Amino acid sequence: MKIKEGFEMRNICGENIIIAHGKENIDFTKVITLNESAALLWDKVVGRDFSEEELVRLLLEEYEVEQTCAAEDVKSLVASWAEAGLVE
Amino acid sequence: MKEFYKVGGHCYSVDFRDERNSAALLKSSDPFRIIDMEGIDSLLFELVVDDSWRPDRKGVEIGQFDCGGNNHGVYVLDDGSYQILVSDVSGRHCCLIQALPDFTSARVCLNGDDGMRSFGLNNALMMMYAFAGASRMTLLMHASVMQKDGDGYLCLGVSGTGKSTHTANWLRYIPGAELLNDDNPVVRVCNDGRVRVYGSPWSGKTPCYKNEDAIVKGFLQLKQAPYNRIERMSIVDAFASLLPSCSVMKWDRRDYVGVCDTVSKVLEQVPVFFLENLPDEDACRLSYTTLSGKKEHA
Repeated sequence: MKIKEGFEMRNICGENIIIAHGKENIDFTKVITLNESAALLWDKVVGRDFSEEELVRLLLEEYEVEQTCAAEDVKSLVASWAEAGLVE
Repeated sequence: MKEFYKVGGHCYSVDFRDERNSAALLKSSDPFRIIDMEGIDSLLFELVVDDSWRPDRKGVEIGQFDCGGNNHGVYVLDDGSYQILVSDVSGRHCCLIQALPDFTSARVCLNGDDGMRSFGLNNALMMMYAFAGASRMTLLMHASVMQKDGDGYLCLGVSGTGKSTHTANWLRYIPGAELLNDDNPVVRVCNDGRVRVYGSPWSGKTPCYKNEDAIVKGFLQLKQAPYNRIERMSIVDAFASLLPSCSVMKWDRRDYVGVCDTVSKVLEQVPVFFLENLPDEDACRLSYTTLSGKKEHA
């Protein structure tokens, strides 16, 4: 999967907020925030293809968490990104 | 005849190249006209008004945008320049703009009677100002602004949220409060780091064109309710509240990121409050004392 063109993370007063620009995103009016770990993953994969497995691996490299726990977090993160229409 | 104006601390020029058009089309800009250019080293944008001008190519359509009844057709050219066709509520073409990608320079031709021309040219100026200002920490906002003792208070919210009533009640119940602008003020993070609000030549249906400014004390996002309650919004909610109140081209990364980052800078200093309100005196006292930090409103 891939983060859609035009979505960009900006630091707004310390919050990681996803903004959407581009002709395709004119009707996108949601304001989405990412927590620290989600923002870290976003930065690492924005603009290229990635898989859930890769996100889990990236998470394990940065945080001391159990594999199963990381896998669950990634699953719910990817689901929320998909629901918000951020990935394709 | 080239005229110069200063709005929100930024100067811009309007060069009337033909005899049909003149500064008389910009009555509401009169308080902002400047004659002495001393100390001004850069312009926010330069606009040429020339009825004989016609574009030599056609752009690709971005979209048709309803701006309160009137329509803006937006087209982009190969080099990123924009063409914008401004129509009035009756669908009559009033103004065609061709602007550089960063809106520092543009050419327009006008059409119709003086009313249409004035309308078209003012729309062109507002867009130039908003889209050039995005790179200069400057926002053209949709808001109603009260000022008192050098401080500015901005009311946000679409019609039906109680904005007009709340503003009118401020003027009635808060001694010394006056209207700075009723529709399109300029909000700017200035070079000294402070956030100021400025009156502008554009104020919607209320003729209030004040060349004055105030330090922004706070924003109010209004909602009608059967009670009065005020609460400071979180950064995320405040951002979501301010962003739709700014004139911005969502499809244009330079402009959109500029506006988002400016809103961020504004929010570093200025609080946004959510006010659920009745149309009464208590609601004004509550918003005024909360935003100003003053107990008494005298």
